[in-house]
Amino acid sequence: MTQKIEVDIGELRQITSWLAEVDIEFIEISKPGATVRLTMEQAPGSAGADAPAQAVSAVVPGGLARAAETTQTHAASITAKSAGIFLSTHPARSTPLVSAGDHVKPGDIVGLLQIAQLCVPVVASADGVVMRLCVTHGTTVGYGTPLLELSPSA
Amino acid sequence: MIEILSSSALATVQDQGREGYLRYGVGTAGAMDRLALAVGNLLLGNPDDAAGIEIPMFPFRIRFLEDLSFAITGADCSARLGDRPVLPWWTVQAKQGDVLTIGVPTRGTRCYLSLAGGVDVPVVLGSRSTQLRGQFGGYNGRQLQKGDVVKAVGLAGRIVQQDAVLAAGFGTVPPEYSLPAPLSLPAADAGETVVRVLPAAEYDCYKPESLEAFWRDGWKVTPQSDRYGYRLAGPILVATHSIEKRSHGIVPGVIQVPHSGQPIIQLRDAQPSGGYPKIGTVIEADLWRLAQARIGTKIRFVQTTYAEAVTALEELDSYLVRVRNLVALFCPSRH
Amino acid sequence: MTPTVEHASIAHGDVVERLRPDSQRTVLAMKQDESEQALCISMLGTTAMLFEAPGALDLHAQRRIWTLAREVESWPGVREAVPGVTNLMVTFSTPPADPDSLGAALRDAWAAAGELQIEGRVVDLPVEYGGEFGPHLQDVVNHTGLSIDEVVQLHCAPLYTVYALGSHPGYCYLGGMDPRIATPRRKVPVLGLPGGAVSIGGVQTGVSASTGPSGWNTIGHTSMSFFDPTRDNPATLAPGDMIRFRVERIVP
Repeated sequence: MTQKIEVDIGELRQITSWLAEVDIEFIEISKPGATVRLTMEQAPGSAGADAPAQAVSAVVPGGLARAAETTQTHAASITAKSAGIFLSTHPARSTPLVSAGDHVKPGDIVGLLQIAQLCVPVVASADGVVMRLCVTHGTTVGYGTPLLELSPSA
Repeated sequence: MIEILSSSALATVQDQGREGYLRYGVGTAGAMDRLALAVGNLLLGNPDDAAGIEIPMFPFRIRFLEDLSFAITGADCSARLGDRPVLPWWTVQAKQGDVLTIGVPTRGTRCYLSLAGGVDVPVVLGSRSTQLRGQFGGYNGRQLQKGDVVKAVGLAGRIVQQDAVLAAGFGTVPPEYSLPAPLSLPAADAGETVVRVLPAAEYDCYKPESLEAFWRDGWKVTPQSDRYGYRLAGPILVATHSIEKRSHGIVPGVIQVPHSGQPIIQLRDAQPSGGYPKIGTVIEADLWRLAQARIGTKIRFVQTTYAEAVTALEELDSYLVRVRNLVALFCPSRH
Repeated sequence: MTPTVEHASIAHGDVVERLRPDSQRTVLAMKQDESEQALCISMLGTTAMLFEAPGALDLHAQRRIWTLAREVESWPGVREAVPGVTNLMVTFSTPPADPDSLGAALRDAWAAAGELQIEGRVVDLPVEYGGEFGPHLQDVVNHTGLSIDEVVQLHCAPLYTVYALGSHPGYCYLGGMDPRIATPRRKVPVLGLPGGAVSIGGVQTGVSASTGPSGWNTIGHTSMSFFDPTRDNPATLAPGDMIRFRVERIVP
């Protein structure tokens, strides 16, 4: 069931200009019961990098996106909840947040997604043992990219 | 509301400073690292003039007496909330009873604890900053002590988000990555703090070899360095003649040279006027870097121009605007 | 920053006065060296501009600084105009795009500035000289060659003018001390000097308004309060007010 959500077009324009600045192709913002996905499309025939003629499609599928992210099978995979640059280590630190073999519990921060100057936590949602990092520190990822694999604790 | 668990911590309540009372002999006080305090307030969605707690000595422990969002910015102090680590430049919500432990930083030397809505102490002469000489402002005009209960203004009317996204908190990339340190010649060693300086009125009174040494050498931050000022050790600066100035106003960043020839950078709790000769002024845009220079490390001075110094201030401001916009985008309830 | 000795005129008088270009010392001189200074405008980073008035350190110059402060404090971009001793520090709310033209405007305003005639209050300060709260009175006696009574009498005789406030909340820079009781600042400052301490430093005298360090020679104590942060105008005294020290007693 879709809900009617009022979107301020001025805010959307502002957000798209920020996205253009940080070179992100799409961003998805979720709240309980609602999701907004903004996708940046290159205008057809646009020549050169200085033509910011982006088309923006706003998709509001209701609660579907939230359901999709929680359906996991066997080896738990922690995926990116938004686009950004995956960081295994906080910028101020030299040791990674987690390493293979570490036990994690729900709420533990196992990585970061850097979006411009923000650091958004990548959070373990279940008990488990870190098997491996799926992407390396500094990789740009999109929504849904697997970041870490956990084996669920016994 | 929080309770201070540590004694002798030298921690004080500070905001961006008390402006407009220099003509009564009242200096600005305020945070040594105003950038760190500003980012802490932005993370929480606090008003820009909200006060926080400046922590210069470690470890520092507090207990939360209510559920309360907070932010930790400034030096990376390996903070822990209960047994969970708290990342640097981070905001998260604490639960009543949680103990926050701020550990000893390996880099930097001052940490800022911001609370939701800001620290709730009376505004005195337009500010919540602590005026230690004269004992007013901040928390009863003094440093915080064990047992003190410090209230937070709180963010009334805002929904405290409980979803998974915010339960772990979020943060910013430390400013040094967005605002890279100035370059010096010769290049600075790791651990040296480089700051830009504009010459002051008595700059030309110094011998050429002293001026060369001023720009070339590293100046050691001696243990007699604090909010009042940083006493530096290095080559003796020699003037071409004896200088006695009539008492005149000064501002944080002014580098005075007393008879010893060893410079002192006047800082936030300095006397707002003085009569020593001034060789230069550390630019306002670089004062936050000074605030994180540890005792025993060295400062390097780089000559800059007025136009460059103004541009540096504008870069600081646009950095804060970007952070504000990003926090609003990520956490709309905070703005 | 070219040093010049400027000719000044009083805007609202019949008499046009010139600044003395010679280095004549007056009894109001506060420093024993550099009795004349050149006009100097300099920057304190991007935060403030410092205007140093030319000429002797005297009340004429100070009155014109008071006039200049009143004119400048309402200029755009100015946060505060802070008088010092024959100088003015102008702090900015926004740094000026063109500091040179601000400097030129300050020169023009100084040239046009007459002596502000402030009807100040005369405040009587009872002082307990010597004893526990005047530990350095003997040092002044030793340096000047005068007796305790003579030092106290010379300290009490003048009517001192408050030139400016600074140093710490409520502290007044006073003009008018007799140079005969001038005593150099101490090599080792005293920490934790209480508020109300009456001291001599070089050719100046002053009263500390709160506990803090001081390198001056403390000769006595007064119990007057100089600062109350709960008041809108928190300082008890203002530039233009006058102080007379009165002997309450001399502790042997």
